[in-house]
Amino acid sequence: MIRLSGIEKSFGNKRVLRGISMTVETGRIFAVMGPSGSGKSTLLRCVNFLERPTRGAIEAGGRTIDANTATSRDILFLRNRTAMVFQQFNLFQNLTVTGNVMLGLTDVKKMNRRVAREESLRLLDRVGLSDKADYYPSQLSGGQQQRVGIARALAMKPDVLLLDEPTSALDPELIEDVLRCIINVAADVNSMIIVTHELGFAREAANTIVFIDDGVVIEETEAQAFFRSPSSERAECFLKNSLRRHINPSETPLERAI
Amino acid sequence: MQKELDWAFLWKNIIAISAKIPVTMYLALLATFFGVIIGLLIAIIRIYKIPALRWAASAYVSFIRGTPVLVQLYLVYYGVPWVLLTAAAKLGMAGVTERFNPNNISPVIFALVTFSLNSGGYLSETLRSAIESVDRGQIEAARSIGLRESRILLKIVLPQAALNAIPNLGNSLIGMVKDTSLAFSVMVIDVMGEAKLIGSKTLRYLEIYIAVSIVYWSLCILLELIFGVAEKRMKMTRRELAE
Ligand SMILES: Nc1ncnc2c1ncn2[C@@H]1O[C@H](COP(=O)(O)OP(=O)(O)OP(=O)(O)O)[C@@H](O)[C@H]1O
Ligand SMILES: [Mg+2]
Repeated sequence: MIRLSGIEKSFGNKRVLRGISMTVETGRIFAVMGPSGSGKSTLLRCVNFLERPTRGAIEAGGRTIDANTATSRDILFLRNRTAMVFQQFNLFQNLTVTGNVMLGLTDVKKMNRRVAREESLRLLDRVGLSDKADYYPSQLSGGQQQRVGIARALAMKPDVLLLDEPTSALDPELIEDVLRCIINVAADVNSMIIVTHELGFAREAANTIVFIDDGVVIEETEAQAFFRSPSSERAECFLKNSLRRHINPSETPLERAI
Repeated sequence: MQKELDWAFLWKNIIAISAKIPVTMYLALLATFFGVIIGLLIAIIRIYKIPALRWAASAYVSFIRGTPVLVQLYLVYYGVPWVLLTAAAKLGMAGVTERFNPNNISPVIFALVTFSLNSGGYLSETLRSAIESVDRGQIEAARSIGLRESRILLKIVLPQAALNAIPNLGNSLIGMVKDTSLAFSVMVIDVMGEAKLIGSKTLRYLEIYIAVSIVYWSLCILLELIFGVAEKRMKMTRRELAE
Protein backbone atom coordinates (compact mmCIF):
# COMPACT_ATOMS: atom_id res chain seq x y z
CA MET A 1 0.00 0.00 0.00
CA ILE A 2 1.15 3.50 -0.69
CA ARG A 3 -0.66 6.69 0.24
CA LEU A 4 0.03 10.17 -1.07
CA SER A 5 -1.44 13.03 0.95
CA GLY A 6 -1.60 16.58 -0.33
CA ILE A 7 1.48 16.38 -2.57
CA GLU A 8 2.47 19.80 -3.88
CA LYS A 9 5.40 20.64 -6.07
CA SER A 10 6.56 23.99 -7.40
CA PHE A 11 9.48 24.75 -9.68
CA GLY A 12 10.34 28.32 -8.81
CA ASN A 13 6.95 30.01 -8.67
CA LYS A 14 5.41 27.58 -11.14
CA ARG A 15 3.00 25.32 -9.25
CA VAL A 16 3.08 21.98 -11.03
CA LEU A 17 1.29 19.82 -8.45
CA ARG A 18 -1.42 21.44 -6.32
CA GLY A 19 -2.25 18.97 -3.58
CA ILE A 20 -2.58 15.47 -4.93
CA SER A 21 -3.84 12.64 -2.75
CA MET A 22 -4.40 9.01 -3.62
CA THR A 23 -4.17 5.61 -1.98
CA VAL A 24 -3.02 2.61 -3.96
CA GLU A 25 -3.92 -0.53 -2.04
CA THR A 26 -1.93 -3.73 -2.44
CA GLY A 27 -3.01 -5.61 -5.54
CA ARG A 28 -4.27 -2.48 -7.32
CA ILE A 29 -3.05 -1.01 -10.58
CA PHE A 30 -3.56 2.71 -11.12
CA ALA A 31 -3.19 4.39 -14.48
CA VAL A 32 -2.49 8.11 -14.41
CA MET A 33 -3.71 9.95 -17.49
CA GLY A 34 -3.91 13.56 -18.47
CA PRO A 35 -2.77 16.11 -21.02
CA SER A 36 0.89 16.85 -21.66
CA GLY A 37 2.41 19.08 -19.00
CA SER A 38 -0.29 18.29 -16.45
CA GLY A 39 2.31 17.01 -13.94
CA LYS A 40 2.11 13.21 -14.34
CA SER A 41 5.87 12.64 -14.50
CA THR A 42 6.46 15.07 -11.67
CA LEU A 43 3.94 13.21 -9.53
CA LEU A 44 5.69 9.84 -10.05
CA ARG A 45 9.07 11.44 -9.39
CA CYS A 46 7.78 12.89 -6.13
CA VAL A 47 6.78 9.42 -4.92
CA ASN A 48 10.43 8.29 -4.73
CA PHE A 49 11.84 11.77 -4.08
CA LEU A 50 13.66 12.06 -7.40
CA GLU A 51 11.93 15.40 -7.02
CA ARG A 52 11.44 16.51 -3.45
CA PRO A 53 7.79 17.54 -3.01
CA THR A 54 7.30 21.09 -1.78
CA ARG A 55 4.61 19.92 0.63
CA GLY A 56 2.73 16.75 1.48
CA ALA A 57 3.39 13.29 2.88
CA ILE A 58 3.89 9.78 1.58
CA GLU A 59 2.97 6.73 3.61
CA ALA A 60 4.58 3.40 2.79
CA GLY A 61 5.83 0.37 4.70
CA GLY A 62 4.17 1.57 7.90
CA ARG A 63 5.95 4.93 7.93
CA THR A 64 4.72 8.36 7.00
CA ILE A 65 7.35 10.56 5.42
CA ASP A 66 6.68 14.26 5.33
CA ALA A 67 8.25 16.30 2.55
CA ASN A 68 9.31 19.03 4.94
CA THR A 69 11.12 16.81 7.42
CA ALA A 70 12.30 13.89 5.26
CA THR A 71 15.91 12.92 6.04
CA SER A 72 18.16 11.11 3.56
CA ARG A 73 17.46 7.97 5.58
CA ASP A 74 13.70 8.43 5.07
CA ILE A 75 14.28 8.91 1.37
CA LEU A 76 16.31 5.68 1.15
CA PHE A 77 13.52 3.90 3.03
CA LEU A 78 11.01 5.13 0.48
CA ARG A 79 13.24 4.22 -2.45
CA ASN A 80 13.69 0.74 -1.06
CA ARG A 81 9.93 0.27 -1.20
CA THR A 82 9.41 1.66 -4.67
CA ALA A 83 11.01 1.05 -8.05
CA MET A 84 10.70 2.91 -11.31
CA VAL A 85 10.59 2.15 -15.01
CA PHE A 86 11.68 5.13 -17.10
CA GLN A 87 10.52 6.42 -20.44
CA GLN A 88 14.13 6.45 -21.70
CA PHE A 89 14.97 3.08 -20.03
CA ASN A 90 18.03 4.57 -18.26
CA LEU A 91 19.95 1.29 -18.18
CA PHE A 92 23.46 1.33 -16.73
CA GLN A 93 25.58 1.40 -19.87
CA ASN A 94 28.70 0.06 -18.16
CA LEU A 95 26.97 -3.09 -16.92
CA THR A 96 25.62 -6.13 -18.74
CA VAL A 97 21.94 -6.95 -18.75
CA THR A 98 22.44 -9.25 -15.76
CA GLY A 99 24.61 -6.60 -14.09
CA ASN A 100 21.78 -4.11 -14.41
CA VAL A 101 19.30 -6.42 -12.71
CA MET A 102 21.77 -7.62 -10.07
CA LEU A 103 23.08 -4.26 -8.85
CA GLY A 104 20.14 -3.48 -6.58
CA LEU A 105 20.14 -7.02 -5.18
CA THR A 106 23.83 -7.11 -4.26
CA ASP A 107 24.20 -3.47 -3.32
CA VAL A 108 20.91 -2.53 -1.69
CA LYS A 109 19.50 -5.88 -0.57
CA LYS A 110 23.03 -7.15 0.29
CA MET A 111 22.26 -10.45 -1.39
CA ASN A 112 25.04 -12.94 -2.02
CA ARG A 113 26.30 -12.60 -5.62
CA ARG A 114 25.49 -16.16 -6.64
CA VAL A 115 21.94 -15.95 -5.31
CA ALA A 116 21.51 -12.51 -6.89
CA ARG A 117 22.65 -13.83 -10.25
CA GLU A 118 20.18 -16.71 -10.12
CA GLU A 119 17.39 -14.36 -9.14
CA SER A 120 18.33 -12.00 -12.00
CA LEU A 121 18.33 -14.81 -14.53
CA ARG A 122 14.92 -15.90 -13.29
CA LEU A 123 13.59 -12.37 -13.78
CA LEU A 124 15.17 -12.06 -17.22
CA ASP A 125 13.45 -15.28 -18.14
CA ARG A 126 10.21 -13.75 -16.87
CA VAL A 127 10.57 -10.82 -19.31
CA GLY A 128 11.72 -13.13 -22.11
CA LEU A 129 15.37 -12.11 -22.24
CA SER A 130 17.29 -15.02 -20.76
CA ASP A 131 19.27 -15.30 -24.01
CA LYS A 132 20.52 -11.70 -23.67
CA ALA A 133 21.91 -12.01 -20.14
CA ASP A 134 25.51 -11.16 -21.08
CA TYR A 135 24.74 -8.43 -23.62
CA TYR A 136 25.35 -4.75 -22.99
CA PRO A 137 22.35 -2.38 -23.17
CA SER A 138 23.71 -0.75 -26.36
CA GLN A 139 23.41 -4.13 -28.10
CA LEU A 140 19.66 -4.34 -27.50
CA SER A 141 16.59 -2.92 -29.22
CA GLY A 142 14.52 -0.33 -27.37
CA GLY A 143 11.87 -2.88 -26.51
CA GLN A 144 14.44 -5.27 -25.11
CA GLN A 145 16.07 -2.46 -23.13
CA GLN A 146 12.75 -1.54 -21.59
CA ARG A 147 12.12 -5.14 -20.59
CA VAL A 148 15.51 -5.13 -18.83
CA GLY A 149 14.35 -1.93 -17.09
CA ILE A 150 11.24 -3.78 -15.94
CA ALA A 151 13.28 -6.75 -14.67
CA ARG A 152 15.64 -4.38 -12.83
CA ALA A 153 12.68 -2.74 -11.08
CA LEU A 154 10.92 -6.04 -10.31
CA ALA A 155 14.10 -7.38 -8.68
CA MET A 156 13.60 -4.90 -5.85
CA LYS A 157 10.19 -6.43 -4.99
CA PRO A 158 8.74 -2.97 -4.49
CA ASP A 159 5.50 -2.19 -2.67
CA VAL A 160 4.68 -0.06 -5.66
CA LEU A 161 6.13 -0.13 -9.14
CA LEU A 162 6.14 3.26 -10.88
CA LEU A 163 6.11 3.33 -14.68
CA ASP A 164 6.42 6.64 -16.53
CA GLU A 165 5.22 6.26 -20.12
CA PRO A 166 7.15 3.02 -20.52
CA THR A 167 6.43 2.71 -24.23
CA SER A 168 6.39 6.25 -25.54
CA ALA A 169 10.07 6.21 -26.59
CA LEU A 170 9.61 2.99 -28.56
CA ASP A 171 9.08 2.36 -32.27
CA PRO A 172 5.42 1.43 -32.84
CA GLU A 173 6.20 -2.18 -33.69
CA LEU A 174 7.97 -2.67 -30.34
CA ILE A 175 5.26 -1.18 -28.12
CA GLU A 176 3.04 -4.24 -28.08
CA ASP A 177 5.84 -6.47 -26.80
CA VAL A 178 6.52 -4.25 -23.82
CA LEU A 179 2.86 -3.74 -22.95
CA ARG A 180 2.32 -7.49 -23.01
CA CYS A 181 5.36 -7.88 -20.77
CA ILE A 182 3.93 -5.41 -18.23
CA ILE A 183 0.60 -7.23 -18.16
CA ASN A 184 2.47 -10.52 -17.73
CA VAL A 185 4.42 -9.38 -14.71
CA ALA A 186 1.53 -7.45 -13.14
CA ALA A 187 0.52 -10.57 -11.22
CA ASP A 188 3.92 -10.59 -9.42
CA VAL A 189 3.77 -6.96 -8.41
CA ASN A 190 2.26 -5.60 -5.20
CA SER A 191 0.83 -2.52 -6.84
CA MET A 192 1.55 -0.23 -9.77
CA ILE A 193 1.13 3.36 -10.84
CA ILE A 194 1.47 3.69 -14.60
CA VAL A 195 1.54 6.93 -16.51
CA THR A 196 0.43 6.10 -20.02
CA HIS A 197 -1.18 7.48 -23.15
CA GLU A 198 -2.14 4.01 -24.37
CA LEU A 199 -5.91 3.94 -23.87
CA GLY A 200 -6.41 0.27 -24.73
CA PHE A 201 -3.64 -0.71 -22.38
CA ALA A 202 -4.97 1.42 -19.54
CA ARG A 203 -8.43 -0.06 -19.97
CA GLU A 204 -7.09 -3.61 -19.98
CA ALA A 205 -4.42 -3.39 -17.29
CA ALA A 206 -5.59 -0.84 -14.76
CA ASN A 207 -8.21 -1.11 -12.02
CA THR A 208 -8.45 2.62 -11.52
CA ILE A 209 -7.86 5.63 -13.72
CA VAL A 210 -6.62 8.84 -12.13
CA PHE A 211 -7.20 11.75 -14.46
CA ILE A 212 -4.94 14.73 -13.78
CA ASP A 213 -5.03 18.19 -15.28
CA ASP A 214 -2.96 21.19 -14.28
CA GLY A 215 -1.61 19.50 -11.16
CA VAL A 216 -4.98 18.52 -9.73
CA VAL A 217 -6.80 15.17 -9.66
CA ILE A 218 -9.91 15.79 -11.73
CA GLU A 219 -11.34 12.35 -11.16
CA GLU A 220 -10.44 8.92 -9.84
CA THR A 221 -12.70 6.34 -11.44
CA GLU A 222 -12.86 2.59 -11.83
CA ALA A 223 -11.29 1.80 -15.23
CA GLN A 224 -14.25 0.24 -17.07
CA ALA A 225 -16.54 3.06 -15.94
CA PHE A 226 -13.98 5.69 -16.92
CA PHE A 227 -13.81 4.47 -20.50
CA ARG A 228 -17.57 3.96 -20.73
CA SER A 229 -18.25 7.50 -19.55
CA PRO A 230 -15.86 9.59 -17.48
CA SER A 231 -17.55 11.70 -14.84
CA SER A 232 -15.75 14.94 -15.63
CA GLU A 233 -16.13 17.01 -18.72
CA ARG A 234 -12.38 17.52 -19.02
CA ALA A 235 -11.69 13.79 -19.04
CA GLU A 236 -14.41 13.26 -21.61
CA CYS A 237 -12.87 15.89 -23.82
CA PHE A 238 -9.41 14.36 -23.34
CA LEU A 239 -10.70 10.90 -24.28
CA LYS A 240 -12.45 12.21 -27.37
CA ASN A 241 -9.28 13.94 -28.54
CA SER A 242 -7.18 10.87 -27.85
CA LEU A 243 -9.58 8.61 -29.70
CA ARG A 244 -9.66 10.94 -32.66
CA ARG A 245 -5.90 10.55 -32.93
CA HIS A 246 -6.33 6.85 -33.59
CA ILE A 247 -8.24 5.98 -36.72
CA ASN A 248 -10.05 3.30 -34.81
CA PRO A 249 -10.00 3.08 -31.01
CA SER A 250 -9.81 -0.70 -31.10
CA GLU A 251 -6.57 -0.32 -33.03
CA THR A 252 -4.58 0.90 -30.00
CA PRO A 253 -1.56 -1.34 -29.57
CA LEU A 254 -2.84 -3.26 -26.62
CA GLU A 255 -6.04 -4.31 -28.31
CA ARG A 256 -3.85 -5.92 -30.90
CA ALA A 257 -1.73 -7.42 -28.15
CA ILE A 258 -4.61 -9.14 -26.43
CA MET B 1 82.85 34.19 -39.49
CA GLN B 2 79.75 32.26 -38.42
CA LYS B 3 80.47 28.82 -36.94
CA GLU B 4 79.18 25.82 -38.93
CA LEU B 5 76.65 23.56 -37.15
CA ASP B 6 78.45 20.48 -35.84
CA TRP B 7 76.16 17.64 -36.93
CA ALA B 8 78.22 14.87 -35.38
CA PHE B 9 78.19 16.70 -32.05
CA LEU B 10 74.43 17.19 -32.31
CA TRP B 11 73.79 13.53 -33.05
CA LYS B 12 76.07 12.32 -30.26
CA ASN B 13 74.23 14.51 -27.76
CA ILE B 14 70.77 13.46 -28.83
CA ILE B 15 71.85 10.06 -27.56
CA ALA B 16 73.44 11.47 -24.41
CA ILE B 17 70.33 13.48 -23.58
CA SER B 18 68.01 10.56 -24.34
CA ALA B 19 69.62 8.69 -21.49
CA LYS B 20 67.60 10.98 -19.17
CA ILE B 21 64.23 10.17 -20.76
CA PRO B 22 63.45 7.77 -17.86
CA VAL B 23 63.79 10.67 -15.37
CA THR B 24 61.44 12.85 -17.40
CA MET B 25 58.92 10.06 -17.91
CA TYR B 26 59.09 9.06 -14.25
CA LEU B 27 58.25 12.63 -13.24
CA ALA B 28 55.52 13.06 -15.84
CA LEU B 29 53.81 9.71 -15.23
CA LEU B 30 53.86 9.92 -11.43
CA ALA B 31 52.76 13.56 -11.45
CA THR B 32 49.86 12.72 -13.76
CA PHE B 33 48.95 9.73 -11.58
CA PHE B 34 48.85 11.81 -8.38
CA GLY B 35 47.24 14.60 -10.37
CA VAL B 36 44.34 12.29 -11.25
CA ILE B 37 43.85 11.44 -7.57
CA ILE B 38 43.97 15.09 -6.45
CA GLY B 39 41.84 16.19 -9.40
CA LEU B 40 39.23 13.55 -8.66
CA LEU B 41 38.94 14.66 -5.03
CA ILE B 42 38.52 18.28 -6.08
CA ALA B 43 36.02 17.40 -8.78
CA ILE B 44 33.91 15.43 -6.30
CA ILE B 45 34.07 18.25 -3.73
CA ARG B 46 32.87 20.73 -6.34
CA ILE B 47 30.20 18.55 -7.93
CA TYR B 48 28.67 17.52 -4.61
CA LYS B 49 29.17 21.06 -3.26
CA ILE B 50 30.71 19.77 -0.01
CA PRO B 51 30.34 22.80 2.30
CA ALA B 52 33.64 23.77 3.99
CA LEU B 53 35.93 22.18 1.41
CA ARG B 54 34.17 23.77 -1.51
CA TRP B 55 35.74 27.22 -1.31
CA ALA B 56 39.14 25.75 -0.50
CA ALA B 57 38.95 23.66 -3.66
CA SER B 58 37.95 26.67 -5.76
CA ALA B 59 40.78 28.75 -4.32
CA TYR B 60 43.26 25.96 -4.99
CA VAL B 61 42.23 25.54 -8.62
CA SER B 62 42.22 29.30 -9.13
CA PHE B 63 45.73 29.62 -7.67
CA ILE B 64 47.14 26.77 -9.79
CA ARG B 65 45.64 28.25 -12.94
CA GLY B 66 46.60 31.79 -12.04
CA THR B 67 50.33 31.38 -11.30
CA PRO B 68 53.20 30.11 -13.49
CA VAL B 69 54.40 26.54 -12.89
CA LEU B 70 57.90 27.88 -12.38
CA VAL B 71 56.71 30.05 -9.51
CA GLN B 72 54.87 27.10 -8.00
CA LEU B 73 58.05 25.06 -8.26
CA TYR B 74 60.09 27.66 -6.36
CA LEU B 75 57.34 28.03 -3.76
CA VAL B 76 57.45 24.32 -3.02
CA TYR B 77 61.24 24.15 -3.20
CA TYR B 78 61.80 26.95 -0.69
CA GLY B 79 58.49 26.79 1.13
CA VAL B 80 58.19 23.14 2.12
CA PRO B 81 61.55 22.93 4.00
CA TRP B 82 60.76 26.21 5.73
CA VAL B 83 57.35 24.98 6.84
CA LEU B 84 58.79 21.68 8.07
CA LEU B 85 61.65 23.33 9.97
CA THR B 86 59.39 25.96 11.52
CA ALA B 87 56.85 23.38 12.55
CA ALA B 88 59.53 21.14 14.06
CA ALA B 89 60.98 24.07 16.02
CA LYS B 90 57.57 25.16 17.29
CA LEU B 91 56.72 21.64 18.38
CA GLY B 92 60.08 21.31 20.14
CA MET B 93 61.24 18.56 17.80
CA ALA B 94 64.45 20.19 16.60
CA GLY B 95 66.20 16.88 17.25
CA VAL B 96 64.20 15.25 14.49
CA THR B 97 65.31 17.77 11.90
CA GLU B 98 68.95 17.07 12.77
CA ARG B 99 68.64 13.45 11.73
CA PHE B 100 66.21 14.27 8.95
CA ASN B 101 66.99 17.64 7.46
CA PRO B 102 64.34 18.95 5.02
CA ASN B 103 67.10 20.77 3.18
CA ASN B 104 68.48 17.39 2.12
CA ILE B 105 65.25 16.21 0.48
CA SER B 106 65.97 15.17 -3.11
CA PRO B 107 64.98 17.87 -5.61
CA VAL B 108 63.06 15.23 -7.57
CA ILE B 109 60.61 15.05 -4.67
CA PHE B 110 59.99 18.82 -4.79
CA ALA B 111 59.47 18.63 -8.53
CA LEU B 112 57.12 15.69 -8.13
CA VAL B 113 55.09 17.46 -5.45
CA THR B 114 54.80 20.62 -7.55
CA PHE B 115 53.82 18.90 -10.78
CA SER B 116 51.31 16.65 -8.99
CA LEU B 117 49.65 19.64 -7.35
CA ASN B 118 49.71 21.53 -10.64
CA SER B 119 48.29 18.72 -12.71
CA GLY B 120 45.66 18.04 -10.01
CA GLY B 121 44.38 21.60 -10.38
CA TYR B 122 44.05 21.37 -14.13
CA LEU B 123 42.79 17.78 -14.21
CA SER B 124 40.02 18.61 -11.72
CA GLU B 125 38.25 20.52 -14.49
CA THR B 126 38.76 17.72 -17.05
CA LEU B 127 37.53 15.12 -14.58
CA ARG B 128 34.63 17.26 -13.51
CA SER B 129 33.31 17.53 -17.03
CA ALA B 130 33.93 13.80 -17.60
CA ILE B 131 31.87 13.04 -14.51
CA GLU B 132 29.16 15.55 -15.39
CA SER B 133 28.80 14.13 -18.89
CA VAL B 134 27.57 10.82 -17.45
CA ASP B 135 23.87 10.47 -18.29
CA ARG B 136 21.67 11.91 -15.49
CA GLY B 137 19.00 9.32 -16.25
CA GLN B 138 21.27 6.49 -15.14
CA ILE B 139 21.98 8.29 -11.88
CA GLU B 140 18.24 8.69 -11.29
CA ALA B 141 17.69 5.02 -12.10
CA ALA B 142 20.31 4.09 -9.51
CA ARG B 143 18.63 6.35 -6.95
CA SER B 144 15.23 4.88 -7.76
CA ILE B 145 16.36 1.41 -6.67
CA GLY B 146 17.75 2.81 -3.42
CA LEU B 147 21.50 3.03 -4.05
CA ARG B 148 23.43 5.46 -1.86
CA GLU B 149 25.16 8.39 -3.58
CA SER B 150 28.64 7.04 -2.82
CA ARG B 151 27.78 3.67 -4.38
CA ILE B 152 26.31 5.37 -7.43
CA LEU B 153 29.55 7.28 -7.87
CA LEU B 154 31.64 4.14 -7.57
CA LYS B 155 29.51 1.72 -9.58
CA ILE B 156 27.95 3.88 -12.30
CA VAL B 157 29.51 7.32 -12.60
CA LEU B 158 33.27 6.79 -12.25
CA PRO B 159 33.55 3.79 -14.61
CA GLN B 160 31.82 5.78 -17.35
CA ALA B 161 33.66 9.01 -16.56
CA ALA B 162 37.00 7.19 -16.85
CA LEU B 163 36.23 6.25 -20.45
CA ASN B 164 35.20 9.83 -21.21
CA ALA B 165 38.41 11.19 -19.69
CA ILE B 166 41.02 9.04 -21.41
CA PRO B 167 41.66 11.27 -24.48
CA ASN B 168 42.13 14.31 -22.24
CA LEU B 169 44.39 12.41 -19.86
CA GLY B 170 46.63 11.63 -22.84
CA ASN B 171 46.91 15.31 -23.71
CA SER B 172 47.56 16.20 -20.15
CA LEU B 173 50.40 13.65 -19.87
CA ILE B 174 51.99 15.08 -23.01
CA GLY B 175 51.70 18.57 -21.54
CA MET B 176 53.30 17.33 -18.36
CA VAL B 177 56.27 15.82 -20.23
CA LYS B 178 57.04 19.29 -21.54
CA ASP B 179 56.34 21.09 -18.24
CA THR B 180 58.79 18.88 -16.37
CA SER B 181 61.57 20.59 -18.32
CA LEU B 182 61.29 23.30 -15.65
CA ALA B 183 62.46 20.84 -12.99
CA PHE B 184 66.02 21.75 -13.90
CA SER B 185 65.47 25.06 -12.10
CA VAL B 186 65.55 23.11 -8.83
CA MET B 187 68.54 20.99 -9.90
CA VAL B 188 66.73 17.92 -11.22
CA ILE B 189 68.83 16.34 -13.96
CA ASP B 190 66.15 15.29 -16.43
CA VAL B 191 66.27 15.59 -20.23
CA MET B 192 66.41 19.38 -20.01
CA GLY B 193 68.86 19.32 -17.09
CA GLU B 194 71.28 17.13 -18.97
CA ALA B 195 71.03 19.39 -22.02
CA LYS B 196 71.79 22.49 -19.97
CA LEU B 197 74.78 20.83 -18.32
CA ILE B 198 76.26 19.78 -21.67
CA GLY B 199 75.51 23.22 -23.07
CA SER B 200 77.35 25.04 -20.35
CA LYS B 201 80.34 22.67 -20.59
CA THR B 202 80.69 22.87 -24.40
CA LEU B 203 79.13 26.28 -25.07
CA ARG B 204 77.54 24.83 -28.24
CA TYR B 205 74.06 25.95 -27.13
CA LEU B 206 72.37 25.95 -30.51
CA GLU B 207 73.23 22.31 -31.25
CA ILE B 208 72.19 21.31 -27.75
CA TYR B 209 68.80 23.03 -27.96
CA ILE B 210 68.21 21.50 -31.37
CA ALA B 211 69.08 18.12 -29.87
CA VAL B 212 66.83 18.57 -26.85
CA SER B 213 63.90 19.73 -28.95
CA ILE B 214 64.28 16.66 -31.16
CA VAL B 215 64.22 14.47 -28.06
CA TYR B 216 61.06 16.10 -26.64
CA TRP B 217 59.36 16.16 -30.00
CA SER B 218 60.01 12.46 -30.66
CA LEU B 219 58.86 11.57 -27.17
CA CYS B 220 55.58 13.44 -27.60
CA ILE B 221 54.96 11.99 -31.06
CA LEU B 222 55.47 8.54 -29.58
CA LEU B 223 53.02 9.24 -26.75
CA GLU B 224 50.46 10.65 -29.18
CA LEU B 225 50.72 7.48 -31.26
CA ILE B 226 50.22 5.32 -28.19
CA PHE B 227 47.15 7.26 -27.07
CA GLY B 228 45.83 7.34 -30.61
CA VAL B 229 45.95 3.55 -30.77
CA ALA B 230 44.38 3.22 -27.31
CA GLU B 231 41.55 5.54 -28.28
CA LYS B 232 40.88 3.71 -31.53
CA ARG B 233 40.80 0.42 -29.63
CA MET B 234 38.30 1.84 -27.19
CA LYS B 235 36.07 3.16 -29.93
CA MET B 236 36.28 -0.18 -31.67
CA THR B 237 35.20 -2.16 -28.64
CA ARG B 238 32.38 0.33 -28.19
CA ARG B 239 31.30 -0.15 -31.78
CA GLU B 240 31.58 -3.92 -31.47
CA LEU B 241 29.39 -3.67 -28.41
CA ALA B 242 26.89 -1.60 -30.30
CA GLU B 243 26.57 -4.23 -33.02
N1 LIG C 1 12.83 20.28 -13.33
C1 LIG C 1 11.89 21.13 -13.74
N2 LIG C 1 12.08 22.47 -13.66
C2 LIG C 1 11.13 23.33 -14.06
N3 LIG C 1 9.94 22.97 -14.55
C3 LIG C 1 9.67 21.66 -14.66
C4 LIG C 1 10.63 20.68 -14.26
N4 LIG C 1 10.08 19.46 -14.48
C5 LIG C 1 8.87 19.68 -14.98
N5 LIG C 1 8.59 21.00 -15.08
C6 LIG C 1 7.34 21.60 -15.57
O1 LIG C 1 6.28 21.01 -14.86
C7 LIG C 1 5.17 20.81 -15.71
C8 LIG C 1 4.71 19.37 -15.63
O2 LIG C 1 5.72 18.55 -16.18
P1 LIG C 1 5.59 16.98 -16.24
O3 LIG C 1 6.79 16.47 -16.94
O4 LIG C 1 5.31 16.44 -14.90
O5 LIG C 1 4.31 16.79 -17.18
P2 LIG C 1 3.69 15.47 -17.78
O6 LIG C 1 2.27 15.42 -17.37
O7 LIG C 1 4.53 14.30 -17.43
O8 LIG C 1 3.76 15.75 -19.34
P3 LIG C 1 4.04 14.75 -20.55
O9 LIG C 1 2.76 14.04 -20.84
O10 LIG C 1 4.42 15.65 -21.66
O11 LIG C 1 5.14 13.83 -20.13
C9 LIG C 1 5.60 21.24 -17.09
O12 LIG C 1 5.08 22.50 -17.34
C10 LIG C 1 7.11 21.28 -17.01
O13 LIG C 1 7.60 22.29 -17.85
MG1 LIG D 1 5.79 13.00 -18.52
